[in-house]
Amino acid sequence: MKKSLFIVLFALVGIMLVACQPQVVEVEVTRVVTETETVVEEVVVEVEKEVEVIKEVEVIQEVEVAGGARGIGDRLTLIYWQAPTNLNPYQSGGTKEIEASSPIIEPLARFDETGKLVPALAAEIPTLANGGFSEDLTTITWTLKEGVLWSDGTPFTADDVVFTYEYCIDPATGCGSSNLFEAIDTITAVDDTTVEIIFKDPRPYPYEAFVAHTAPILQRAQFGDCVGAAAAQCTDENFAPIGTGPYVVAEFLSNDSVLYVPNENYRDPNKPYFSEVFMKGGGSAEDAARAVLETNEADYAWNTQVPPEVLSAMELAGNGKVLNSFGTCVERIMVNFTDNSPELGDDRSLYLDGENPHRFLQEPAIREALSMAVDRGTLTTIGYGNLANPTCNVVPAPSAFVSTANNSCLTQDIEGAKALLDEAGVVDGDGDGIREYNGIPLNILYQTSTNAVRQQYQALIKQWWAEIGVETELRNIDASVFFGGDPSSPDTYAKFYADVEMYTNCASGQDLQGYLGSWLPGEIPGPDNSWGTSNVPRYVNDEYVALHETLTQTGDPDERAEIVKQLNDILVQDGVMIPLTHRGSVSASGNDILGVRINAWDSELWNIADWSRAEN
Amino acid sequence: MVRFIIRRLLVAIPTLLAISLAIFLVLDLAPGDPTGNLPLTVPPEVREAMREAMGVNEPIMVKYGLWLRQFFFIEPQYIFEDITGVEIFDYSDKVNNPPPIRILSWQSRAPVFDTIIERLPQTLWVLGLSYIFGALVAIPLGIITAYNQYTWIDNVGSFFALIGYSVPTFVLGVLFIYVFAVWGGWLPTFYDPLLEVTSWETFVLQIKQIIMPVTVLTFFNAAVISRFMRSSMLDNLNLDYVRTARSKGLTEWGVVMVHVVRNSLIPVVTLLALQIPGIFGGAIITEQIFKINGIGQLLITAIQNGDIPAVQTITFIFAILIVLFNIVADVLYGILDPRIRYD
Repeated sequence: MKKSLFIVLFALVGIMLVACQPQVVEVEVTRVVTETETVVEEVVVEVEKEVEVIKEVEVIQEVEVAGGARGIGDRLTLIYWQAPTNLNPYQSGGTKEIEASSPIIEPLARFDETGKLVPALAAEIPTLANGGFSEDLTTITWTLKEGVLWSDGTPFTADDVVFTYEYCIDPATGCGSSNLFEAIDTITAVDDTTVEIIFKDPRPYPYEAFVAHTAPILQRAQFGDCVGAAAAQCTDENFAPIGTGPYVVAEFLSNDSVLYVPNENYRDPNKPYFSEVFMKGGGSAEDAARAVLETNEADYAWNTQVPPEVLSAMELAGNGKVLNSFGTCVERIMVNFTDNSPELGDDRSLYLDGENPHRFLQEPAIREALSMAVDRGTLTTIGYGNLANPTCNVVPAPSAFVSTANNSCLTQDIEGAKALLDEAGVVDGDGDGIREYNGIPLNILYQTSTNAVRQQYQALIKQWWAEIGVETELRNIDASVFFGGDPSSPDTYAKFYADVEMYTNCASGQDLQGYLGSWLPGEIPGPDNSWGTSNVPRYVNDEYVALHETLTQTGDPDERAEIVKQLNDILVQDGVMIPLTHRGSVSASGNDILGVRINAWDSELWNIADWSRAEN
Repeated sequence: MVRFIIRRLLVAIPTLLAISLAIFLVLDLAPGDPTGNLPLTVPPEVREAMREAMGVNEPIMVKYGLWLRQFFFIEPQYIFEDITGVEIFDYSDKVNNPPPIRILSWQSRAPVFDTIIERLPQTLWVLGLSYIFGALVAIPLGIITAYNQYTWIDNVGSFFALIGYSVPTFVLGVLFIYVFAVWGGWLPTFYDPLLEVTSWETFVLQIKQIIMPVTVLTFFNAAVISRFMRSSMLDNLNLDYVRTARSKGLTEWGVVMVHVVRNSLIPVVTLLALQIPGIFGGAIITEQIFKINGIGQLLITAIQNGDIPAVQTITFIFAILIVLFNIVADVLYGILDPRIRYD
């Protein structure tokens, strides 16, 4: 009997060890996930060089066209160290699954590496100018390419587009992109190649549903029985979707590897070049970078976000190059406009219709001084080397939407910050080195997720804030808890039980209207919405609300850009958030791979049909 | 003996139920969110809808009851279908009359058992080989070092055993990768699970990709087992029956190999049996370093992604194996050592 007791104890201890141990690793993995919510702009020198290479590729491919070039290449090896668990992006919502499915299934239109919309399955992009998008901003009509076949040889029709909507909008499906389809009121297949979408409200930016890698088209014939609760039974379908893209799945091992072979029914008879594509997961970002840059085992590695000095040392081996592209991701400090004092109990960090203002961060001069004291250039160089840029904007891209009104913040100004505080009467009254606002000392609790770069940022910023007389207490929380949605946890970013907190966020695709709508009063997190909304600073500004309302009713692209800039300026100048670093996505490519155009607005494999290998 | 086995198996049932509940409670109380790793661009409402579709929000007792039903009733039926080809469930109308839902992983939305079965071969190959090689190296090493106690042979052997025992696999593994793959360029750093051995060339490739992890683990296993073998040998070498054997005029080889080794193997065999569940469990760290898609790596990614059904199922299978092999070890003890009787 004693023996069996011992067994129970032994098993329990073992299990607990297993359950507790991996917390450390968790940190790293989730860190990268937030790093990968990418999207691009501002192409750096390297990418410009890339474009030159691409021109060569196009020439090469034209030569190949004459001889019929599908599948003449060897094996292309991709390292996606965070491996896909599933090949149906709607069943995951994660970046890795979306990337892995993009050689197989395609949307109607994609973004190219400059952020421009290009047709994929659509014949052209519907716009106000060509009449595809109605003047009242409520109806968009997509015309599909003629003669496109699914990989099983059956024709691709407008009905499949309608089906994709039906699949994703059913709440029981648990679709990870359902927000992209919510604005649709009705969708009809007018004929085999025409889809008409009518929105519930005027939609000045209609390119969400069926656009980019997050919203590809599924085949009705395959997924027809997988809608709603039945989606859970469709493992075979989810693991091998039938698509219209250049490759099809030959083998898939969940969370490890994918083997793709050319789609015999792909619409361009001379593509794709490679006879097989092997995507392998596992290890870390550093292992992935090494496999391409040093050991030359692989041709392309996704998301190789490792310390800049490590990456440049690997690049010296001469096998490949580091690619980098910029979307809208900005590492920023969010400022809490509500009082987070622990003694408030359940009312901590609740907006309470403005009855609960922050003890001292409600004073605009303090928020501005905190921003002025930060040296964004130093932070960015230490954290990311030349793979990121310091920024003063919440909207750092696309270039047409970038405000230049805030660029003075790029220079650190400690003396200016001190003067500003002195002027506002926020001085050190009791001589302890910490300034007071109405007798309350400026003690700031500064939280973020556990991540080496973020902790470096925290340490430096703490020093600079100390110089202007602000005392800072640092805190870091495991990423899966900090970014998790558990309403009972006090440590989530949405609960915001701190004075300031730091993380990266990005716009989804190019819809800046939705992104800027995050900071409307209706989006303030609280118990009534299980802290599930996005106005994390609890910011309320009538001017901002009115301007955003104007944006939702403006169709003209130039006017929209102007309004976006103004909204950005309000957020930055009112100190709602302190933007620090414009982060890019980083990948590595072998020297002999041609055609790679790293893209932060869409999947990095968006143009894999055009990739090929240079002849030696 | 049979009565003993039956009694032990009966005791195992409540033990395992208690373990499963404990695992479930621990996992449920631990923080984490299966949608926590999604990009922040996925809005909170969508995450909530996804959690709802996964069944994350059900009360804990409902989740536990469902899991028990799936693990003990539904999954065995599917396994039976798989093996025999007999269809128990009706697949004709999946929409209106769907077959019962299996244990689905939250990250892949696929049956956990399928993933485990897909990954078991890699784990068994790497760990099984390292285990066999470990025993093959360790037992002779233990015999030689014990027989030559305190000589230079013993010192060298003990030195290597000490290194193998105390250098963690993650240090040795990374060192191997650096020397043989990065610096030398002879071996791959990524494991290709889709490689099929069909020719001499593919066989060489398979050896190349498996040799580093197997060596690292062999080193560790051999170190542990050889220490046990050595001390067990030392216990026996000085006993009276050895002196008797020698005085009867048996050759030294006969004394050591027939009498001493056989008796010394008793505790070692038990130890080997107790470690077998570990083979199925996979080597979490080694698999991670060499990018092998084994069970250990599945467990770690499941934990990272808050995939409770997968973690629960895998850890519970470990628990079953541990309990079973404890019984096996006890029975083996009885068979090998006539002094031990359970009846």
